[in-house]
Amino acid sequence: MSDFITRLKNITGLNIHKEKLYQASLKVDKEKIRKTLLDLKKEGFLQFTTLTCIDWIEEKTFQLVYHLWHREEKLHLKVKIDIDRDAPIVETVSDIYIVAQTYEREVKEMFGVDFKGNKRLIPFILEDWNEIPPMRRDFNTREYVKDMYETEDRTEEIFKPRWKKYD
Amino acid sequence: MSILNKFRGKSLWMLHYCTGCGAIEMPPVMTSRYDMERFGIIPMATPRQADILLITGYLAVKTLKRVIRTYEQMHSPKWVVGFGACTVNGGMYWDSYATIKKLELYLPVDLYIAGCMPRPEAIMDAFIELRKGISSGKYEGWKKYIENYDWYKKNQAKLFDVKKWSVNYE
Amino acid sequence: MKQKTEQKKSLNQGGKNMTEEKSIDFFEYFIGPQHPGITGNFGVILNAVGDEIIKAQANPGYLHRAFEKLMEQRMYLQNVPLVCRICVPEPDVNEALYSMAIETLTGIEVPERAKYIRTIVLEMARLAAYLFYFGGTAATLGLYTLPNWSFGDRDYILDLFEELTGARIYHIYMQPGGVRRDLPKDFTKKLYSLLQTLKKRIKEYDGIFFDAALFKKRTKGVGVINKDMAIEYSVTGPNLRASGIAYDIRKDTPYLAYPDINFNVITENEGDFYSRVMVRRREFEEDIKILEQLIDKLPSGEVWNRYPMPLNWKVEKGDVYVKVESTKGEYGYYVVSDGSEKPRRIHVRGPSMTHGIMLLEKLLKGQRIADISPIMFSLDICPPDIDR
Repeated sequence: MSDFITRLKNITGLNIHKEKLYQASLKVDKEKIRKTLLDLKKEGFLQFTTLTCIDWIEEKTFQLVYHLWHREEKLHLKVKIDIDRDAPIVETVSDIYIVAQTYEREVKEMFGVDFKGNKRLIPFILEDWNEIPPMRRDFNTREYVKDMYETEDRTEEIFKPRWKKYD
Repeated sequence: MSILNKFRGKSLWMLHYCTGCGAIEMPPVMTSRYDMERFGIIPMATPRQADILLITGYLAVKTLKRVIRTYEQMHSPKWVVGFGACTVNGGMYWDSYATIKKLELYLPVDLYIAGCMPRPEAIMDAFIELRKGISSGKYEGWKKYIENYDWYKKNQAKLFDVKKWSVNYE
Repeated sequence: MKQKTEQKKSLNQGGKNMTEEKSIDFFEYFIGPQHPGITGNFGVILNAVGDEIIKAQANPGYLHRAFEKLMEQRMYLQNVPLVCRICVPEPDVNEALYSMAIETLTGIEVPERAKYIRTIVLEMARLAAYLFYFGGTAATLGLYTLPNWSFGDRDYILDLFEELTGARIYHIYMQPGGVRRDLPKDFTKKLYSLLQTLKKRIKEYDGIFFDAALFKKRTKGVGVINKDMAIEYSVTGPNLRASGIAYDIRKDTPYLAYPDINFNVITENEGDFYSRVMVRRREFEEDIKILEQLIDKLPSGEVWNRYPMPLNWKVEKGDVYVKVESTKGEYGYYVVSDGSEKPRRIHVRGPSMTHGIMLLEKLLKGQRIADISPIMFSLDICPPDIDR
């Protein structure tokens, strides 16, 4: 695995850190993500495992982590990019890895990150959602629950005859 | 009316709709080991021929829309059974933005089965209780739904637009 | 169902001047969520000409519970009972993954016996999930005898789970540092005799289902995923092995007790419905062998290493991706910690996310409407791990 990482460093000129559990991580600029993934796909990273977005609200950034897997060399590579939280736009990779389309749809819905060039950014899981994207740190689900789901409960009054009659 | 109820309790068709994770305990109940057909209950694919709407677990708001539609398509008399702690008060998902907390605010629930998840024996027990209750006329939630239609609709309208029907697709 | 009509422009056809004739281009069908042929609560929207599907769109989201959001608001130990509810047919992988991720981040050692017990639980869950799969697949083809047999046999495994953990479905048995309690008395003996029963039973299944001519005729050549397509769509797990690629996470990057176990990676070459079922059916026997080895090699000792006081348990800053082989494919957890008591982000990578959306839509194109639920069931799509 270490040999492969040094070889990869030489070929692509990327700064890859080895980590435990067959993993390595790599940080690139937002603009270079398409080029990096194209290079890595040529090197044999054929499986797009997942795409994660992390909301670092204190630093006002979203971190996108692209997880790639090399089957022969057994290397799990995490490609990380930072994007601005106020203007979250990044170029799509859904034409490089087809399945990335679904993951980008999910990140768009849950974090509001826009993927330029993705043809299918229609709502994925939520329906008629009007609030801020729910997975953002500033969305408070407990307050939302209090507002939406707590109403005057009249069920006892409605079902009263039943209890009186049979109990 | 009571003579009708007596017969209604004998043969119940349950709507085959897996709304949540409780659906994993339904196959054992339906098949050889617990065999709910002994009690005259079989799953039915279409809402128009079903008598029981079994809500197997939590309902996301997206599912709730479909469940209400399904419930309104069913012919009365019809009964709703809430299955699992998450239909009673939210259970595990008490602070989740996506799921409803109390099912009885949106649909008239006749019987609850508590637990996460309830054992097949609990489901069988609930069905036997439901049969008895139907025969004696104890469970008539569908009448309450008609009588308090405005109140139920008001609660439903808080979560989604009850008049508009939208699906996400291209 | 909705008819899409379109006004055609005037065209000269066979000497007759046809103007503004309405024609039906395609029908729109909504299959699911309330449909017995759909794996769980899931929807597919179809455009079809006659019986042939020209476009399919998966419509998930009916089981969304926002686990990832809820986990950010709970402390590390509070998440243990929550994670197993993510995937319903096979919940144990979630517990194992969550514990493995926390152990990697904090450096808590797992006792050797606990590793073996975890592996036993995972393999038992795999057998149970496969039995569920066989029943479901047979039922979509209209054979209702096999579900009655296999769900009944699955209950024997669930009984053992109940003895071991106290629950049938959600076990909450593994926790960071090991497992909650040791195996009960005579558990391995009972498990061993159950495995012998299952060995005999799977031969009976062969007679009724897997060797049946009708089953072969119905399923061969349906929903083919060839090698290139499998790689292009990042297919994992048994679905990948059915396409002829020998890749198994248990073998390639072994975790828990798998390094000590000898087993073969099962592959089939066709990549169609039949191969996908047969890979699982042959793996079922292989899993029985794995379990027998685990019982033989089970070491003695402690089963749990203490973790710190959970109320102020701070996990070091860092991130880790852990994965296991589930019956549906690669199941992964990506845990990010910012050094506080609560996780910063836990991302769950369910295998159905790739199988259930893009691959399903691709496979359904050009198929008949009657093939939708067989294809869905053969891919073993589990909607709860798409929605989470």
